[in-house]
Amino acid sequence: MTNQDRYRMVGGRLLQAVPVVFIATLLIFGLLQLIPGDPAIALAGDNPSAKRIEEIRELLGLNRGFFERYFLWLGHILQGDFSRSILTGETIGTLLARAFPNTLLLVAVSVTISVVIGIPLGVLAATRVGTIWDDIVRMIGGFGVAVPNFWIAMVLVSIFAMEFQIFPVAGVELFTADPLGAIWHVMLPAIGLAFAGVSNVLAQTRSALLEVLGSQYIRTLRAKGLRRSLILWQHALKNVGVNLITVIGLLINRTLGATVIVESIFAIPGIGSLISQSALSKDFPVIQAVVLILVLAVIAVNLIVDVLSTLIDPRIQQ
Amino acid sequence: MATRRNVLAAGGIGLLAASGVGRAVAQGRDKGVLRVAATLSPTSLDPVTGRGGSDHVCLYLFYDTLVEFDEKTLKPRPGLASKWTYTDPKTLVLTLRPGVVFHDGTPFDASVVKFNLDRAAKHSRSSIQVDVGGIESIEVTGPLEVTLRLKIADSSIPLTLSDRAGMMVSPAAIEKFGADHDRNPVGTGPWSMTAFRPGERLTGVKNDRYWKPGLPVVANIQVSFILDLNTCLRTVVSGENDFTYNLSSVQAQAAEKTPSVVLTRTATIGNMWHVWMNNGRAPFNDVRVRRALLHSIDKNAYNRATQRGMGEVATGLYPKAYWAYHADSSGAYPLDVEKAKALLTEAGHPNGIDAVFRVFPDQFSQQSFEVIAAMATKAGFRLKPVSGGTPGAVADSFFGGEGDMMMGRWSGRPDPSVAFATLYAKGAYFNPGSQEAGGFKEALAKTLSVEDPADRAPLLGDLQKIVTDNAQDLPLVFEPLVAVYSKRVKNYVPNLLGKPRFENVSLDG
Repeated sequence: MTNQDRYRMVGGRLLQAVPVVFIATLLIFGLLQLIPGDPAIALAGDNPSAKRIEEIRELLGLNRGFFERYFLWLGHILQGDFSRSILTGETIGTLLARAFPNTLLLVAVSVTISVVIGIPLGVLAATRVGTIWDDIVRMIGGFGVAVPNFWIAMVLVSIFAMEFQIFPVAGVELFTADPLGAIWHVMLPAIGLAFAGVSNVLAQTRSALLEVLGSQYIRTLRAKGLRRSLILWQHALKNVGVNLITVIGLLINRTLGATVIVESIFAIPGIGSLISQSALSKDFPVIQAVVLILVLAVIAVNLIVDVLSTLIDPRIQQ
Repeated sequence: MATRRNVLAAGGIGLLAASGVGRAVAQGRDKGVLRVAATLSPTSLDPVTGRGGSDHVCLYLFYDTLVEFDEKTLKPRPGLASKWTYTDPKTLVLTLRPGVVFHDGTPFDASVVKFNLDRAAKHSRSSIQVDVGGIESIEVTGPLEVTLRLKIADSSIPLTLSDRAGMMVSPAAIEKFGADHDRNPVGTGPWSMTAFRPGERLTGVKNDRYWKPGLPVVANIQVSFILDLNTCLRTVVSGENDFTYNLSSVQAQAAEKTPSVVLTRTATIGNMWHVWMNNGRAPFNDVRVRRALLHSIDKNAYNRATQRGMGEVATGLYPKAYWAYHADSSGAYPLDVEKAKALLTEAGHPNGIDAVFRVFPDQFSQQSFEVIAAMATKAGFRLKPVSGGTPGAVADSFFGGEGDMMMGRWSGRPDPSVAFATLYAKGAYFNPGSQEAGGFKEALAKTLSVEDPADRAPLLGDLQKIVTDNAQDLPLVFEPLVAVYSKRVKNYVPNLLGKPRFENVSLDG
């Protein structure tokens, strides 16, 4: 694939994303209106008069029609204005800028752990297929998908934070102020999230590698007398690259969604915590903005996966 | 084999481990920092625009109030106002304390008080307009004297000024920060803010010009916001934090078994669980039906089932320790299922009644409903739970007229007359049927016409009797404020309001 073809592909994907984003925002905006309760009443304080509630509604634009509010909101979003939190009055851009890096770090560390552990385990299982090593690895994989990540997280906290005090129980450090400290703070929750990720990665690696190792060209390489490790690391693994890129992309998206519970347990002020708090307090502008960001993040990850796939796999390039 | 790659990898892991272990240990024991774990980040650090009852713990760090309260009884005592006098029932004169200065150097005087009270009444985002709604006008009658002219005789004003309305904010800060004052508090309080990351952490450093000598004892304070109560408790047990509060009875039981922490339980006015009844429509518009419900509930059993027996059974609006508590109504509705059935029959429901019970979606509320429903069934009440939506949504819909009953936690008000009015007066938001008992308005006015708590207490008792006779709600239990803190925390005194204050707290070793 030439660079021009690649740009055309990226452009096409971006165009495809536009209706997806539009429908997602409309759905979220619409569904939020179905939640019973009036934020104006909550904001007006104790014993508010009807006049005071109406004043708050006017102040927040809650007395306008659905589509008028939706298109006003969309217009502001397109200009980079996410509006303000109803609860705190803070600009949502500031809230997101503060929360998103914490979630990003958590997801990055979790996915890294999943890949660093999952791939070698998958290789071990594929190269020792039918042996006890294969059984052990597949058992690890089963455990990872079967056990809920929040339970694993709580067990990890009990042992490594409470009992042995190796890791902190809760909270974060600013990455810009203390990168190692920031990573250390998210290590336990990242490990909790990574259990399922390890299972996915090792299963895909094992399955794809088994297929490649059984193929004719690998037999040819063996017949030619190449060392086993060379065949594995320089030939076979390249051919499972696209599968791995795809599963890692899915893993990132899934981990983004799984952060809600883990962030609550570990008091990580990320996107998951933000959406929990906002949902409980009917802070609609924040919920809308967070969901939009997550939709965009998923689209971006999928796009990156597609582009990387074209780079890795010569068959796609052709 | 000691290849370069292996050595580098080992070194990297060692560095990470060392920094992490070192950090985990260092998170303990900084003598000059009191570390508090709180569940909710403040909705605003501006007392006028904030809405959460949980904000106060953070607000108290930076703001003083015109009137303070005694921790054990909540009786009013001087704060930034060293004295207050009713020159007549509708005129309140505040004498202010001299020599007080805001964190930014602005002097505290009468003009500042007028500025703040006007702001509370007129700010577009003010959540306390109702609190100051009884003030007709505010005059600066001296450099340290303010005169409030009231619309009616109202003795609730001093205790109202012990809450948000009495928290004094620097006018210079309001001008400097504008709307961002929500996150940049400047008061006269024991600490001044150094950093605030909403949802994450709030820190403060000792106010060296604080008007109370020797306070605060601890030089620095740090409040971490942790949504999950179990995590809050874990951070105290592990030594990452020194203090946490608002724990449930379940967590209290776990903390009791932990030797490294101290646990306190205090009945407060801010944690009363009770059942509202929509008295504006059938079946609960009939007082006999309401009385039947009250006779069908075993509150001691409810306390054991939902609070592990740690709560104080509620017979009225206030716990026994509160100055406004009156024992007269305490035995009004003993458990008596037969009497409950007789009342229902008399009211025209010999086969019992069906009622819709709005339930909050959390586990505790669901469990509480099951306990109440099981008891009420014996008398003939068939309660149908309806949940869905957030707690706020459930409350809004009930107070808007949907559903027959709802259980919730009453967070209290600084002045008891205000609390009665907010809950039981005609047209009050928290009076779902908007029906008022006969004689309530007159009795309420009497409680506002005298100032001395000793004179007000029996009048408030009369008011409680009217409410109890009319069976306007079903008080269940005062959930204790459970606080857990490490043994290095000294001199913590819980208050009856249920909102911890830390200026007297010191730290050992």
